Amino acid sequence: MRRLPVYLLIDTSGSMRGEPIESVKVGLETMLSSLRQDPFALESVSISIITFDKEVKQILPLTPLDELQLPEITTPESGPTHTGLALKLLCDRIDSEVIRSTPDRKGDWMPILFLMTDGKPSDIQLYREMIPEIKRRKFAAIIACAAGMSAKTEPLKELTDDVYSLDTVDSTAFRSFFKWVSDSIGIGNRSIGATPDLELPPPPPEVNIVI
Amino acid sequence: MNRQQRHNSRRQITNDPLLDRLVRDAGIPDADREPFIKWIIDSHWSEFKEDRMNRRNIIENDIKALGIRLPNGTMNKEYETSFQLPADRISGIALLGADELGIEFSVSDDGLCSLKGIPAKSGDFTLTLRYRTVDGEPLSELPIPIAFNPDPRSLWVARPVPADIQFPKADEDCDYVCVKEFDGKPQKDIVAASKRGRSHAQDGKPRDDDFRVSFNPQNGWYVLAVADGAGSAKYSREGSRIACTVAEEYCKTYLAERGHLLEEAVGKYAAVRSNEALQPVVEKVHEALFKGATEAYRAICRRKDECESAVLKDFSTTLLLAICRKFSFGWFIASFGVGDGAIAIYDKNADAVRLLNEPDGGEFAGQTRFLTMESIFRDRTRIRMSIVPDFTALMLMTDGISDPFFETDANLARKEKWDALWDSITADVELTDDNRAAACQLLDWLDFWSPGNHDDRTIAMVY
Repeated sequence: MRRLPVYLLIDTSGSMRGEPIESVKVGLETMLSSLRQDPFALESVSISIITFDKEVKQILPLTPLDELQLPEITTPESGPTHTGLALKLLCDRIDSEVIRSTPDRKGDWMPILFLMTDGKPSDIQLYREMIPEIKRRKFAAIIACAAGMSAKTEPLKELTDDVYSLDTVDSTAFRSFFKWVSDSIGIGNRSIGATPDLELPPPPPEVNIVI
Repeated sequence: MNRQQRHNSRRQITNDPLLDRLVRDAGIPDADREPFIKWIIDSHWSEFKEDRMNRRNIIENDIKALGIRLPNGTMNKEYETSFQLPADRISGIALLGADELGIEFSVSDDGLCSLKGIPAKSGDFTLTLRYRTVDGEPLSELPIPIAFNPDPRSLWVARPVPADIQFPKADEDCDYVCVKEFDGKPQKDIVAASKRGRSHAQDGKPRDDDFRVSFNPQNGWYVLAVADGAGSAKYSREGSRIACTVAEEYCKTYLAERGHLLEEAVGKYAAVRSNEALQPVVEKVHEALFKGATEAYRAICRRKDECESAVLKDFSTTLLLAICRKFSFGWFIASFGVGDGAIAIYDKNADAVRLLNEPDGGEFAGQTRFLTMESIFRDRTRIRMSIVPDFTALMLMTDGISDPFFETDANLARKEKWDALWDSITADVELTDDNRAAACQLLDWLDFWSPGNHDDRTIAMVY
């Protein structure tokens, strides 16, 4: 069955420790339970989670929504934010996990990428090198979210036109962000075809559009 | 106090001659004997309790470290899983909360725990694993989360399309073209049906597919057109409607006016089967089908011009077009196809199926080519022709049907896959001669269930 691959890249650097990361977990739970109520998502969405701090890990390989169980998310005390390295791992994972159509095999839908960070890439050179690599891999949508006041939106604008910001990093903000993510995934399910660009639903009040 | 009495009073403390002797030999004064023994017992009692608790904690931690995770289940769908517990270390194992969810829990003598049943509700739940570690210690409990997905079938709802949309279209449509007996022999009829997919119904969006079929009793030509409007294009339902009506109308008119020339050419080719004789056939077929498709493209361009701020892409649609006619030597069938879906000549008793289109696919699912892309008139031969002695059915279908039944392009060539499709159709649809009821039956058949495949579905066939 053709899958809709959804990759979530989540900043787990030291500054996310405590309330922010707990709020992200709550947000992810909300997203999953909301997606499970969407019959199309339930049959087609597969989710992968990659976390990045000084280390980059795929804590959840691409897993069908109905089988998915959220893994533990941990944050180090402090350290750099290796966003570029995360994009590099993402490319590797896309290449090995996402199925392209061949005469004998039905391909997946074009993947969707959500990237959430509360800072800026510490490995900005690698980050910039990876941007063309990401674009070459054809995503139906790349949505970047700058969470909190110290998050930098400029590097994110280099990655995608769809950059959003959250003023706060509390559970209300993340819950509504991830609810919106799940709505976007639901739309992605049904609208892929003639237009490669995904039309996103309007974001909730907690999520600001960065122009 | 005589000797006997003293002896008795010593005995009263322990009733144990050995312990009495040890206490006496240690030189403990009589008055201290009782407090001393009490002190020993008290201090060792708490040490004993602490040790027992520690042993419980160690086992509890080990059980927790097993990291028991239960796979997710789905409501109304058989659930079965198991996990292993160390039967030599714990006893009295029970799983609280499973019963209420419709799951039966059992433990074998060697500690294999099994869950089996049909989840009665959906949601996230927490079961409690209860077990005994050390005698005298309280029972241990470990929360174990379990999640049951809702039954996807129960989540689909059919929402009506807003009444005021531009280019409205009925959610479903069917047609039957009854071809009367000729020379006392039954003739093949046409049946077609089209239905809005569940994914569109869920969002209150209209059907994007369309079809058009006809038979001309004057000249014996059948014309069938099926089109799938792109889900993401806002006026694709109008694109598919124009594609079908214009292409079908063009072919019908062409065949009425100049069909005799094509018939002549086909007749000559059938007699000699040479490349030279084929050329006039190709030309005429091109004039009918290719021009029919081009006319449809132009008509869509005109409609786009009438709409303010619309672009051609908004009308993206595929088009599968076929004409056929019975000759003395058999059937002549010609087709034109752009986009996905399938056109095929199916003969139940033959070894192979004859495909009359090459689906346009991309690297990812859902990527295809559309009639609204000018390049499709140049990129490759989109016309196919065939002469067969007879057939069970000539079928045209959108990917709403070909995807669930064939999945891949390679499978389209496999006869057994077509047999499965045919068995599925004929189980619900009475494809007997002149059976007008078949149109409604075919419409009902379109509701077949296939996970992940909920697109609009359209099929047209000559049988």
